[in-house]
Amino acid sequence: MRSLLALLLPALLLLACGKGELDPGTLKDNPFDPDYAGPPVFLLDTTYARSVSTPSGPVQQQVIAFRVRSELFLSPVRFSVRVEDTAYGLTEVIDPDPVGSSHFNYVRLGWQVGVPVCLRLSLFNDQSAARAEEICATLQ
Amino acid sequence: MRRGARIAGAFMRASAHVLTRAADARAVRRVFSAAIVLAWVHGPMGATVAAQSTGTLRILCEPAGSCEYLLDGRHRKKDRELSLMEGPHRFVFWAPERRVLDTTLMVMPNALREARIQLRYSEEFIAYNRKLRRFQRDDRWLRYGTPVLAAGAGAWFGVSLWRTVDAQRAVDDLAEAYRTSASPAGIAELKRTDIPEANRELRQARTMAFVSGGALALSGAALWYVRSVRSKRQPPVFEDKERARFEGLAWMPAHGGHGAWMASLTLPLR
Repeated sequence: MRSLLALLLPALLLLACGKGELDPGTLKDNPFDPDYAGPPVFLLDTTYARSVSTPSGPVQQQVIAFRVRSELFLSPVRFSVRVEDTAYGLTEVIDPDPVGSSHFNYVRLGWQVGVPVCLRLSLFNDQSAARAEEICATLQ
Repeated sequence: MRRGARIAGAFMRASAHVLTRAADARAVRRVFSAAIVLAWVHGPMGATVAAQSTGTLRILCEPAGSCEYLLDGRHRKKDRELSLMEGPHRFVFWAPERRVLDTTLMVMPNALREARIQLRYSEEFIAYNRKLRRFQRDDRWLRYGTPVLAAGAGAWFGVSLWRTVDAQRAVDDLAEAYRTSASPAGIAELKRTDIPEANRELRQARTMAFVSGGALALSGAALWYVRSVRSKRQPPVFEDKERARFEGLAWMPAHGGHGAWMASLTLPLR
């Protein structure tokens, strides 16, 4: 009887002390989670206009530079960013620039001073996108 | 007496055969008279000789070795072979657990006779045996049933515990997978399917562990209870009434032709 109690009590304690079930509703701190509910992942760095020479002549471009707050990631990972240009209705996946960093440059054709350009950004991996965030940049 | 008559008759027949040839009627009458006289004289003599003749009786009693008998209501014996005076003798056979058999055996003069005795089990012994078997069967259940039950409950609890730990580990692994995953689709799948499934298994395993733990506790209590009950149980005691009956008939011979009737009382000592 004593040995039975000696077996039962630790086992019941083990059962009682287990972490228990995992509530999917509380899991929202991974920036790659489509249900992510943490602080913003994307930060606008700057925007500027540039002229690029091509064989067919110079092309005017607006560069929107932004950064991903990789410190929010729960583990170090590689990733891309999907950019949706709401004004043009274009969607594009871009890689870090330089590679391995958390800096991105989105380049769009043409530019207008004083007109905000809004982008919907989301982390992109494995052919799927995380929560989208919008950033807007205005060329001065 | 009959023997004497038989001898006289044979003598007369032989004499008649001889004398018929001689055809002498007077001689025949003399011979018949002599034969009758001879028969009268020889008859009682023959009877006296026959009364003192002995015969041998070989008793083959089953169960061999434990069979006892009371001879002519006086002598308690175990011998397998007896020399007895001719004529009927009363035998009361008995063996432990067997029924008393009261019978008469005829001893023939100058002859060896075999008596095969098969003693049947007594009603008390059959009833006792039935009770004993029931007691032993119940005792086996009490002795091995509850420990086997407790062992089964223990094994069940062990397996349930192992499954619970395993399910908990699976849930923890999924939590870690969520933390390290960089695939939005993978995370969505994790939250939609994998985690609820792991939660369900953990719930089942924990429920099973609690139930089996309860069963183990109950079987432990049953084990303790049955052990205490078993220690108080007493096996049935065989009271050999046939033995008492047999021994009540015993005559113990003593020196000088004296003896004593024996009786016995069986006290079951526990």
